[in-house]
Amino acid sequence: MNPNPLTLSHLGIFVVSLAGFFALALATERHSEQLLGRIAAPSWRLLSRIAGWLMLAVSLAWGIRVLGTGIGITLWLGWLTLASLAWIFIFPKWPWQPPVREKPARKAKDEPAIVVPSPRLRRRIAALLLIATVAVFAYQLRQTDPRLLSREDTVQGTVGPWTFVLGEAERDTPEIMEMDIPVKEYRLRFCEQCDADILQAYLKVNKPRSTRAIGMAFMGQRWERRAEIPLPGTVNADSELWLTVVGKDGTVHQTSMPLAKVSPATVAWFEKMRGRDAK
Amino acid sequence: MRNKALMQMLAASALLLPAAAALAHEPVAKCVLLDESTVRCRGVSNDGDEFADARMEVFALDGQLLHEGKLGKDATMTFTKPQQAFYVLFDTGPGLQVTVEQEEILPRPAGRVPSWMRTP
Repeated sequence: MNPNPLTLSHLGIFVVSLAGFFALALATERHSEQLLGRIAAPSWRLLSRIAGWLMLAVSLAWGIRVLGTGIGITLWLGWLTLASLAWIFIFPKWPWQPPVREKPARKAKDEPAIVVPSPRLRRRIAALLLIATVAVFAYQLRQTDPRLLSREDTVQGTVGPWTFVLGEAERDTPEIMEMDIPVKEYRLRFCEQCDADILQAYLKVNKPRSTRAIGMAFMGQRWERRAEIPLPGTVNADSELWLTVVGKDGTVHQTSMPLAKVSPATVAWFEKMRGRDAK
Repeated sequence: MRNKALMQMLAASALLLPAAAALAHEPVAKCVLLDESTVRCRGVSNDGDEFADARMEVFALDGQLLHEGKLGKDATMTFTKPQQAFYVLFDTGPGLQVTVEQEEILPRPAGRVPSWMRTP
């Protein structure tokens, strides 16, 4: 059997986080005594604390590298949970633990417990992080326009007998995907009466070379069709976006519009990248 | 492919990535000139997965099919550069395709290049 590299990465992330947690456990007095039978020397404990955090960082980096930032972090947290749970259930059964010491009965608490000064700074940082999470989420939510085709920067046009509105899903620069290929998502809506006559719509940059090479098809609900298209490295201020629409009666209609009109930020980004490469 | 299903499930349920529309597996393709007369194209999904059994076609501008083949190692296809003007079509299914125009096919960039661009 040929193992999937992604499966191996998941296993690797899990194993490295297991090792990381084990090293962190060794760094504590309680667990190092339980695991080694004696409390390890402070220098060893410091070393294993550093090693532990380092391994957790490595597994995080591994996750981000293989799965991307969003999914990588999420799945890393998932594997951390499983790794720590595994140790929680293994430690009590650890075969080499020292015999349990006779502990003197606990004294009744007759004197007030020592008051630990509350770590105010740490608490403030934690509160700040919590607030920041909500703030970033709210900001992103505001940036997302649910009724995107009613925005002002959409392009209206006609293709054959049908009128349409076309706009980019996000106004900023394209998303860079596999093999450094820039990708852009578009939304399309036809007039309400037109919709019934339309079988499928396709979109691409540059004029279609043949009836087969017409680009990516729009998917999703007909009142907000979406297509994600890769952009060629040759995009410039004169590049055109070509829309091909096939009617239910079999007729094919095409129209084009300047890419710079629909995606000005994207065209500007290509020019900027070209300027940087030329240097 | 159990972990892929898990990934998609997590990505969909976590709501962490409202902008990630990458789960549809749209094809992307890139071509380079290995030397003056050899072209190598690679076709994968936009999030980097290789399609088993995917094919790529090379057409002349008049529509004549010049070359066609199944993707091999690293999801690439290597072919002799046609004498006439051409374009490459990577079609993975209904409505899922990408065209690479001849003008986009450049010599390999200097410096470190991805392994699929390296010969053999």
